[in-house]
Parts: sequence; C-alpha cells; structure tokens
Amino acid sequence: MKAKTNQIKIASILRVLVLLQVLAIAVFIPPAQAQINATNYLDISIRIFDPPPPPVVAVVAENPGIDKPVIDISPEIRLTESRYLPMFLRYRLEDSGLFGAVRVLPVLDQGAQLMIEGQVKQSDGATLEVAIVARDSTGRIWIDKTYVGTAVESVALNESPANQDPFGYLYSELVRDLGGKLQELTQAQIIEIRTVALLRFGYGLAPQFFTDYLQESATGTVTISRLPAGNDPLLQRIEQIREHEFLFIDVVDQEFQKFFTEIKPVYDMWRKFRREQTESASNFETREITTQSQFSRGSYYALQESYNNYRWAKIQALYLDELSEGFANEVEPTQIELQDSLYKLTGTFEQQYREWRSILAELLALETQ
Amino acid sequence: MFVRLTRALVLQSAFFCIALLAGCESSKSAAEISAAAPLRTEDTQDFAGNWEKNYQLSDDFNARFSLYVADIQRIFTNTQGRPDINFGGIAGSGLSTEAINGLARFTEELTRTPVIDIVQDEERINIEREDDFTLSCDYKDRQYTQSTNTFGADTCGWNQQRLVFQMALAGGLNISHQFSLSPDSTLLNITTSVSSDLVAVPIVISNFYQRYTPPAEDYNCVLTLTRNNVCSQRGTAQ
Repeated sequence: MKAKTNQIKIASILRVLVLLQVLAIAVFIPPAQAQINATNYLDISIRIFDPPPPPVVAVVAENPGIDKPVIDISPEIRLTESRYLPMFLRYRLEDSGLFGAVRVLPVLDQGAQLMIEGQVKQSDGATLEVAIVARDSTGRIWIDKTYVGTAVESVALNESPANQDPFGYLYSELVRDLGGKLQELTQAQIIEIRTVALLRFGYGLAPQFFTDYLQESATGTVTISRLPAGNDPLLQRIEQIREHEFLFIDVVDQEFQKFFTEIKPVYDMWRKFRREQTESASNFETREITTQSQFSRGSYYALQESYNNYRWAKIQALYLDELSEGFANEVEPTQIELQDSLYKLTGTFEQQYREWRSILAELLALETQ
Repeated sequence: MFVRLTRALVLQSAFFCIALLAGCESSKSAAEISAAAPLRTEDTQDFAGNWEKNYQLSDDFNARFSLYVADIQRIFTNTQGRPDINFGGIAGSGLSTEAINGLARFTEELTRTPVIDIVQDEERINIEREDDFTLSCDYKDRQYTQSTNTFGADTCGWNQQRLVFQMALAGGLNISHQFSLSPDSTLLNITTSVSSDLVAVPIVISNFYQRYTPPAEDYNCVLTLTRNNVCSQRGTAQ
C-alpha cells in the first residue's frame, strides 16, 4: 500500500516536472529573471555516512597485545547508524537557523553548495567517533575534523524527544564549527559558492557548455573563470532543472525522515542497553582483575572462579549478539522499505537526469547550428 | 566399537590440542597461528540436532577418576624426585590431593550436561548446553579460529572430522571439548579433557549423546528490542 502511494507520488512529480520543463523550454524564461538569488543562506547536502571499516574481529591475531577484544557490531546496526546519524545532524542544522535547506542524500550531490560527508569511526553506544568533512562548491574545506565523545545521559525539558540524543553535544559542536566558518565568509564569497554550485550542476548536465566558466586548481579549489550572461537561456534552464531536482531530493528526504522517526526509539534503546552492558562489564572486569583471588591456586574454588569469569564473559558476548539480533529483527522491515524507496527513486531520478541531458544536448545542437 | 575408536582418537588428536594450547598461551604465538589459519579442505560433519545424554555408554565418573588416580600414582612413583614433572602442588614436592580433587570435582560438574541442542551451518556452529554457556564457533572457511576475552582465550575448529574447542583460562586451567559423530550419525561423542598447571596429567571424560525429538512448539517467536519476544501461533499469518 505504502509502495503504491510512493509510486503514485513519484509519477505525479514526474508529470509536473515534464510539464514545467516543456514550458520552460518552449517559452524561454525572460532574461530579467535569470539572477542568482543573493542571500546569506547556503543549502547543505549531507551524504549518508560511511559505516566504520569492517570490524576488527575478536581474534588474537588482529589484536596482538590488546587485552580486551574489539566487539563486533552487526552490519544491520552499522547500516542503520550510517543513515540515522546524518539525519540527526540534519535536524540540528535546521534548528540552528543558520543555513538554508538541509538535505540528506544517498549519493554525493554534484551541485551542492555545502557538502557534508562523514565516516563513523566508532559507535558502541558509549562512545561515538565520527570523521566529518564539509566542503563548499568552491572546494574550500570548512571542516575536516573527527568528533569524538562519550554518551551523556540527560533530558532537556524544552527539547522534543526527537532532538534528544546522548551525543547531542557533539552535534552542537559541529553546528557551532560550521556556523563559525559561515561567519568568516563575506557576502561575495557566499554568492560565489552559490554560483559555482549552480555552474557545477550545469557542468554535470552539459559539460561542453560549462567547461569555460570554471577553473579547478591542482588543490581542488574551483574558481569562476567567467560568468555566463545574466539572460543566458541555458543557465536559466539549468536553474529550473536544479529546482526540479530538489523536488526529487525532497521525496528521498521524506523517506529518510520517515526512517528516522521509526528507527529512533529502537536505536536509542539499543544504545542504552549497549551502554549499560559496557559499563557493567567494565566494572566486573576491573573488580575481578584488581581483586586478588581468595582461593588457593589449583583448588576447586579457584578453578570454578576462573571458569565462571570466563563463562560470564562469553554470556556477555552472547547477550550482545541477542541485542543485535533483536535490533535487526525490529528494524528490518523499515530498512527494506527505505531501501526499496531509494532504489525506485534513484532509478526514476537517473532516468529523468538522462532525459534532461538529452533535451539539453538537442537544444544546444539547435542553437549552435 | 565406536567407543573404543573414540578413546583411541583422543590420543591421536593430542598433537592438535597441544598446538592449540600453545597458541592460546602466548598472544604472539596465537597471532602467528591465526594469521596462518589454513583453509578448511574437508567437509564438516553435521552435528545439528537435539541430543540427550546416554548414561549407559558414557563414562562413569567415579570409575574414571579411580583409574586416573591409580595412573597418576603409578607415574608419580616411577618419576619420583624429578623436579620437571608436576603432579599437584609445587613442582617436585609430591602429590597435592587438594589440586587433584579440585580438578576432579570441577571436571565432574563440567561434564554433567544432560541435554545439548546444536544449530549448525556451513560457517558457524552453536552448541547450546543445559546449565552452561553456548559454545559457538565461527569457523567460516577456515580450519580453526581464535578469540579472546579478559579471562581467557579459546580456539575452535576442525581436526579432520572432529570439532575441537580449546580454552586456556586464568589460573592455568585448560579445557578441551572434542565433538565427533558415530559413522551412522546416531551418536555424538564429547570427549572433555581438563588440566591445570598444578596437575600435569589431564582428566579425560568421554560422554555419549543420542538424538531425541523435542516436543513441537506451538509458537514462532521473534526477539525484538522494544517489545521483547513477539510470538505468533504456528500456522497463522505473520
């Protein structure tokens, strides 16, 4: 039923887009409208985070000299947090009021004004470590930093439950860093970022037309060589297409929002259980290691103590497996639904993108004849 | 016949166990062993199923222990005065009845398990034991694998058609379980060897299990985080 509703939604958006395209192409938008909107707001695109590298399995070989094994976190949890964490960041950025639209995407946005990428380095409920790179369209690095912190249990009465997170302070730090960087920019630089973003988007659609406008240095910095005329019809079409693309992205974004809402209670609970387990395990281990056994070596009680400690550690590992299994069982339908929607939307979008390219190429051919 | 074969195999597999033990005792050795863990070349045995202890075929613990004590006394007499051999207590100082009795009592408790449920696929086996933790081995395509926690290290894997779990725990306690099937797959043998660094000779107990059919369950249950177990009656729509 939901899938059908989505299909209907996509189909209606497609119809509207094609209609708008035809109108834009046939009528030609008046030159006076072809101006890049000069506001202080920059839109942000966040690509879903990369999950951590494959877990270091609790094998002695991979951890020589390490006393405690690295606990393997199930792939379902890794996948979930690679989608959940950017969504939470998105809401924090929106709440800050410093930026324009903030969107979460499954892929890199070539026409992004400010693109944020992240890699989850560690996430075990008790500790979160995420490497963040934020880069604007001109290639300027805003942030290249690893945010790491431990969970802080707190409840803010003036915050909605959706905004509460034991690592909320890390997100606040990230938002502050981005806000600080934004304040360093002049109005001209902001306009440049927006312009380059549009030109880069245009380059993606019609590279032969946009090659001359941008210049990329060896360090990856992009500068504007020259600007197209304000009434350039192709630029106007590109702007229109970009706006239309946002409609698609917003549909994808809605799917991510739905995913976030459904997953949050389960993910929060998993992290809470995981934290409690880590804490109690750590306390137990510290107590056992630092306390001298009161039994004589080799006696029945000493053997039993040794075995019981080992058994306890094994049962803890099994408990973690059960938590992961419970998590996976619960989020699986939501994951599949999101995956399904993304697959359909990406397919639809790619097809639409191909059509835009083809139409633009034909128009260019006609105009240059 | 299978019983005699199984006991002979205990000796044959000693080399495998010694190699594993050596791997467990030193992290460097373990690293080298695990890094070089060979690919499994033979098919695994299928232990999956529900097993209950066959008391008739299994070792009588008291009888085994009497033989063990007789053996250890005989060896002690033959090698008396050699400081390199430890029979219990401080090396070369004589027999420690506390260490031997402790090891025996511990082994008896360890090998009581009356019922075992085994779930197995190509890459992993879970051996659920009543009154003890689940033995689990992620052998994948390897002959064996190793893991460690704060209180010990273990190695599990295949030694030809036998599945071996080897644990080296704090306080010098070493435990090995070997699982093998009778040729017609109707009997499961578990040979457990337990030793401590205060008693040089391990106690070896062999137990046999036969298949049983557990009563059919009326419900399908799925574990979830927020709703615990969610069960539905078998045969009804999920």
